[in-house]
Amino acid sequence: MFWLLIIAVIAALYAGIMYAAPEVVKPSGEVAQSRSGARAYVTPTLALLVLLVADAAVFHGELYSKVLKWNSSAGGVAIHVEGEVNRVRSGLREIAVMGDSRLVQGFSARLADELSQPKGFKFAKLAVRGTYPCIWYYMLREVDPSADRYRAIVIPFKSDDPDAYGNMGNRSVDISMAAPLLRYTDAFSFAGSFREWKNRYAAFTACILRGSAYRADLADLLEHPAERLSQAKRRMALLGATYHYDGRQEDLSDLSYDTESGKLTFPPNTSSQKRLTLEQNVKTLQADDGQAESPGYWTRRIVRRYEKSRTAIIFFRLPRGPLASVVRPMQGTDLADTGLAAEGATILNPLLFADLERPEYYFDANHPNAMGRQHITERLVGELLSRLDQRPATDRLR
Amino acid sequence: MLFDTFEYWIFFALVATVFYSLPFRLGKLTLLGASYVFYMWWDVRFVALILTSTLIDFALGLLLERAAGRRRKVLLIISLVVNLGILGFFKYYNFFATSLADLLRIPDNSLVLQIVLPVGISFYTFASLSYTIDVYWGKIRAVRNLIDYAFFIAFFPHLVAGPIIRAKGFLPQIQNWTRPSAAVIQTGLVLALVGLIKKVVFADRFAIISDGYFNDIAGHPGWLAAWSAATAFAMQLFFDFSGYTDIARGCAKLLGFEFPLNFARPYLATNVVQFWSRWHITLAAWVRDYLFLPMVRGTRSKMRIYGAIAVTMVLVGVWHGASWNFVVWGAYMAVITIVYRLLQQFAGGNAGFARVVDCRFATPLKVLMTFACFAVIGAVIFRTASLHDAITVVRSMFAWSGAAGESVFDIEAITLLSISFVLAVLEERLQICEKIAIAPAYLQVAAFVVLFATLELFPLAGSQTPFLYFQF
Repeated sequence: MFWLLIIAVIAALYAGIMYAAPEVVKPSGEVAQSRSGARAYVTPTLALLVLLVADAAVFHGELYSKVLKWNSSAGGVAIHVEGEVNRVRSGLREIAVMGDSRLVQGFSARLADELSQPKGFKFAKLAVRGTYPCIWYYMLREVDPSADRYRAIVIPFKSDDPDAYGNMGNRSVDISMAAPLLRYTDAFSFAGSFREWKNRYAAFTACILRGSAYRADLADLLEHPAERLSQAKRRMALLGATYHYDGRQEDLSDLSYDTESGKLTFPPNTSSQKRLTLEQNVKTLQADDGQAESPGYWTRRIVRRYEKSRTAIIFFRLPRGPLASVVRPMQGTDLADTGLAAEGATILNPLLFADLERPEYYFDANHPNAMGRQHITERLVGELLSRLDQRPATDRLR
Repeated sequence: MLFDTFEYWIFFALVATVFYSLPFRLGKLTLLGASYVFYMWWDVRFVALILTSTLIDFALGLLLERAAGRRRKVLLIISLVVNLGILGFFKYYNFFATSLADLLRIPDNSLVLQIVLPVGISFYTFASLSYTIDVYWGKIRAVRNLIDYAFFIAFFPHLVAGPIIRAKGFLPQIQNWTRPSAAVIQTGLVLALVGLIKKVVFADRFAIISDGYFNDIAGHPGWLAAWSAATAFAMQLFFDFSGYTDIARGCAKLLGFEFPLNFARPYLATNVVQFWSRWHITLAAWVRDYLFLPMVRGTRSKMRIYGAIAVTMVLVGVWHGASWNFVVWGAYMAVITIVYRLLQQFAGGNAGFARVVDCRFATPLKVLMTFACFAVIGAVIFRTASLHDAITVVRSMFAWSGAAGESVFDIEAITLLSISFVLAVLEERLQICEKIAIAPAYLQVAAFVVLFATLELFPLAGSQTPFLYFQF
């Protein structure tokens, strides 16, 4: 079969070149000067309109979002939003938990439900790896269009600036992540939130021609069509499976840091990549001056979206890493200084997770393991219930 | 400001809008100013060089026309010395310095200077030289208008990576400029879109494949890996450079100017001579007219002709860059050109051999051999960082008794190769791109939709490789 294929390819090449019959190249003549200049723009403009309509039909609707690679940046966001939009409301008081990969690993919606349902609460976890406040804003806009679905929205405090996170330097990922949620009217505000003109242009284009944000995904679809179509059919089951995920079992118990010498001792068999991220984590902690960064445009936009709503916006600080308690113990000063409280947001105690900043609760430099996940969930739920349980549903939390 | 960036197209749109809203005399000044801004985008200091070259050659052109006898020759030599001196200093000083240091066995950095190579210097120097030589030969009259001359040298679409334009073809366009017709504008738009697609869809993808091999040659043993990587680089080089040229020609057309053709399906060439009439045509024509033909004029000596071929090809190699790889590349091109000429002579005296070679069924084999000799093996010498690496890869390519290794092509690359081949064959036969502008409106719309959609959906996500020919 292989050799038949090779012979077929050679025959096709042979026939192709014979057909081309290349000779000495004849320079082409001048193009006909048949039409007036104004008409030059009619057909390209029409073509652009056709493209806009085709893009809207394929990419702005549900047609393409259903086949997005479910574990890609865009697909992860799309599937979580689709799942939450289609989820039948529980009738209980619902709390949405936004977040990035630290919450993907560090928070269990199943455990949170077990702890809170007796008291009439239901948790909706909308954590997707790599996301940041801009994406959370657009996710909330989709899943909660009238800004009254949730009793509270819980958000880990995170900078608006993805450049602050090493792995987020590639801005094209941010744009494709937001793509499933963008509307034509977002073109200027979304593009304007980027600093570089190149990214602004890409962000603007993603709002108008959404297909441009799905290039990597489309290439993957063309390469693995059968796999992707089968994945598309199972995507809701895949999302459901994450609800029962218990977290990673491994830990970093043998990791230590000598404050005198500044020397890191790694557990045996730690990969070079993991060592690098642990070293980076220590450097970040050393450079941390303990002051909370002022919240950016998207964080404030989330708060303002719910300004007149009964939904409480609750910010908290996630534990900072496996060595944080040794390198730079958490101080009391925190998010209260950021001005978010003055805008109506609720700020949880910054020391809530201080004792979880230890190696036994982590499986790498940034992500809590199963034990860390359990403790974070229990504490967060406990703290939220103590604040929300006492108040009537119509009362805005302060 | 690269052609495949957002900044460039904003710049172009602004410049074109201002240009068309002004009378041509003012519009021309706008284009000249914009060209200098475009050039200064890389480094403000570079503009001093281009202005110096422009002023000197403009003055020398006028003086050459008025001078007679030996004085003319002196003026031409001044032009050659100044232009080639600037080019030589910026492009080749460090190469000669390190080579001399190696010869004298002194540390490399003892003679090296911190020199930044001005972008496009090789291109505009050749354009400028062609002017003074043509005036010296009496082929054209010296231009009287400094603005026109400066515009010819600095016009931004050709400034940094060609095509190499000549005064004889371009200056009359400035003097007789007319607003372009719809068909010309549409052809310009098609060329610019096709050029962008060549760069961001094809070249950037082949770049990832070839970089993967050439950045870690030792990690990719086997002849199959070497041939496939060299093919990937040959494809990258073609799509990159011809894509740039297409955008340059398209932008010029959109502003009402015509640049010469620079690429015409070179990988379908059936022999060496045909290859050079299809690959970097303006450079090949330049060295033919100003270097090769003057060397062989009036001679029938085969040895002298072969010598001229060798000198010309080595200089073409050196024009591309200051390294021994390019010297060897030029020498390699000279050897296969001479071998081809010898074969041609043999065929001339042997009817049976000629019949076999000229048979239509042999055409695909000739194309394949020309592609392998010029594009693939040549690409290895062109791409590798050192002669040692080049020899390693070429050895791998011919180590057929050893392990084949793994091809660097994945399914995506094979698809791209197939599409490239089909498009090249169709373009060779039907010249589709040129016909779009005169096609019925519905076909035009369909063609533009395909071009726009390709640009929307298929550029390589999150990656951008700089144009290769900017370094020349």
